[in-house]
Amino acid sequence: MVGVGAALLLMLATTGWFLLAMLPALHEHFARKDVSPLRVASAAADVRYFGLSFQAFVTKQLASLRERARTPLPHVTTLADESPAWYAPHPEDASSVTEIFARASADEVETGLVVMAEGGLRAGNGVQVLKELYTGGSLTAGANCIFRAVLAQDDATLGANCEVLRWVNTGGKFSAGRGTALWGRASSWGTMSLSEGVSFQRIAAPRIEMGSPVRDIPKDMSSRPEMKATKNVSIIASRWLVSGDFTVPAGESVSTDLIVSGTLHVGNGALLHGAVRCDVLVAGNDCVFTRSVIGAKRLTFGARCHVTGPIVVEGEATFGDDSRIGDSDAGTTISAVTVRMGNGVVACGEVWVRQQGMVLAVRPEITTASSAA
Amino acid sequence: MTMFLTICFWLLASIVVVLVVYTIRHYVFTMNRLFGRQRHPYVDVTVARWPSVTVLIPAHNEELVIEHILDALVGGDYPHQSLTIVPVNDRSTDGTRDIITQYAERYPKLIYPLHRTEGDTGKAAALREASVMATGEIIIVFDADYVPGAGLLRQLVAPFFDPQVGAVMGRVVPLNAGHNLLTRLLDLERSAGYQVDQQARMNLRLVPQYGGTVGGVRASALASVGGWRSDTLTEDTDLTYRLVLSGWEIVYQNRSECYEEVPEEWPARIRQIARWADGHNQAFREHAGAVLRGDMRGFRQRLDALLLLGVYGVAPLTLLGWMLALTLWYGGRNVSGWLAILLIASFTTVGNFAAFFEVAAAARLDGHNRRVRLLPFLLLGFLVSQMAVVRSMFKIKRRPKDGNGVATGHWHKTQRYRGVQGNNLILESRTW
Repeated sequence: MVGVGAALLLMLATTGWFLLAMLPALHEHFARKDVSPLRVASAAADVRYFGLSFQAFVTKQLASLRERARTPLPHVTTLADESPAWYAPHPEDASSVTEIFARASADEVETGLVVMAEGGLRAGNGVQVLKELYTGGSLTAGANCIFRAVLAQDDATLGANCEVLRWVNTGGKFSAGRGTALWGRASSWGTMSLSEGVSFQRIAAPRIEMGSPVRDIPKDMSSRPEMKATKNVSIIASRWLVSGDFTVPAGESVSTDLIVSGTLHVGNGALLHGAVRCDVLVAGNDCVFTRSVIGAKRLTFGARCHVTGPIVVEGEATFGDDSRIGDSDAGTTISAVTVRMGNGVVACGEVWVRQQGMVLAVRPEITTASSAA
Repeated sequence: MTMFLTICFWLLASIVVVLVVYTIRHYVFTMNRLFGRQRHPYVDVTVARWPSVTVLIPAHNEELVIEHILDALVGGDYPHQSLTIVPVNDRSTDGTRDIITQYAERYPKLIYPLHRTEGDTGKAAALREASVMATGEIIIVFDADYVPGAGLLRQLVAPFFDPQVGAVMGRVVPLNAGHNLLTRLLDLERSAGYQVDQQARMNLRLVPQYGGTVGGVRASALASVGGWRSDTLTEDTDLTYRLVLSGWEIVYQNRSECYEEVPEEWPARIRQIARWADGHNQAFREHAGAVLRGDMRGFRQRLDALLLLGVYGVAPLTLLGWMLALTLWYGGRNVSGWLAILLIASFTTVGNFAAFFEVAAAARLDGHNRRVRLLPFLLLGFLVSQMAVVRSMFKIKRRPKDGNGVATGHWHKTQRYRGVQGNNLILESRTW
């Protein structure tokens, strides 16, 4: 009898032990607290995603603010969600952001105010706006300013050593002074000008000028001697496949896709008509790439290179002075972990940098195939 | 008797070794996803001169869903001058043909339907015939029940800027995840398969699998390996191996997500898993030799390719292992010694939970912290899958051929459950 009891007890204990794991499972099964499908946020990759979303928010808020405004002078008010805001109703005047602090309480200054101006805005040196800033006109900021996020309907100009913490989106031109740090996303519908020493992460504009572009350099598409496939080239599905390193001599052209498992050296003035994939690329001066360039580790372009297609590298990309990326009629994308832009580089489209991009004051040191030889 | 038991013992030992390898694989993939460097090299390419693309939508009796995918593709942001949509209606007997015709009339420069009334049936045959019509450099394939988001085509095309890439695979996300226990379990399984398995393969530069939908293939790569074959049960697995064995690379894009419907009834799920197992095992027989011979570059890639090919062999091997263990036990050939017991105890503790750990990690990566509590129910799902796979093992056959030697397939498709819902169910959070 004792044996049977012990066996029953063991069975009960085993069942209980098993059911213990089932308790949270049964609870979730019946409570159904986490049943919605995974969210697919395809638009979040858009560089202007935050700016456009804030624009939609602003549009709603402005209608309400205009109705409630009792004075044409800038004043502190609240938005529909009760958050404090500094509102400048008069669209004709360019207001001064420094007035924010004169009219706001200490608490409001500490927690930050959303800034919304129907007209343009001026910010003196050292101004800090720790909430979103919207201007229906242009923004002109002095040196050493800090902004959390900026949405300007027209142009925006930041002085030296400013910081944008999350994003900036302008309807017109955007320029950042020497040493400015653009964290997050920066985009403009007009030309973007980044001075020497500006650091960035994700930037987009129809034309992005780094440093001081001196002149428009035409793409040299003149015919070059066609390179003959060497012994280490396998031709598969009209592509050149190379195991190991490979060199395209200076002044020659390759008309097919080129896949190199090692380092690809491209001599000065070479023309590559096909897409390029390699481990490391070292391109000389005045090279032309008419399609994409993909690298596993590092891509280095010499001065005055032209690249038409997307550039993707899982490491560093360096562009020599006066290089041109993308065309004015068809932009392209640069994606890299780090990017170093020489003086005078012009990129059309988007630059997505996982860590940090930098506009260099001087041309980076580049070892080309010809100079290495 | 002793000889028989000795053979059983070594057979069991071999099975244990295979299972240990698969266990290690689970942990390597999961740890990589949790702590390793993540690779999404092409996801940032959003501005480019986009190549010409042909989207193929094989459809057989899809009147409930075909409208949604056509709306989604037409409303997407891929430049229309570079886009051709080819709905391939294969002998539908419902309203699919009429719906496609209406859309073709509405978008005459965008939608070019192909109505098949003769020739081999089935998805692979439909793709094979439609790919002749495909004028684009890139061919993207969606099953008719999928609902692609606005930017999905660009995301799937972006990797093809890399001339080494032959095929691209996006992520499949169950739309009806919360319908019942089965769909919730399938949601967890899909999550593990894509969020962990596929992405880890991408991270480790192994062999991500082209899954036949929410993905694409370069037209020149497809031509170079002989196009789609209509005599295979899973044309996607077959194409994956023919591409990688020919030196093409396959890319997985974890952030290129697309909704699908998963089976809501167990019999449908059993048929689905049995079909996948059949196709995978067929691919194993056809490509394992080439993988073993070293026709692929790199030991890690070869090992991963082999393990992927053999993944549906694990279930029958496990069953065989149980039978062998019982035979040895009742035959009096027992494992003894502290080392053996320690190994068995270790495997029981760690090995059995490898797959569960992977699923839990995937749910966490997706931010689904509550549904991970359903994990114990997955035992039920695994047992059903085990049964379906083992059952399919005993009826392996190639697709039958007609008098002219042409394979005569038929449509293997999962029942559609969608009512009036559609791409309006795409969820997005907007913030700044």
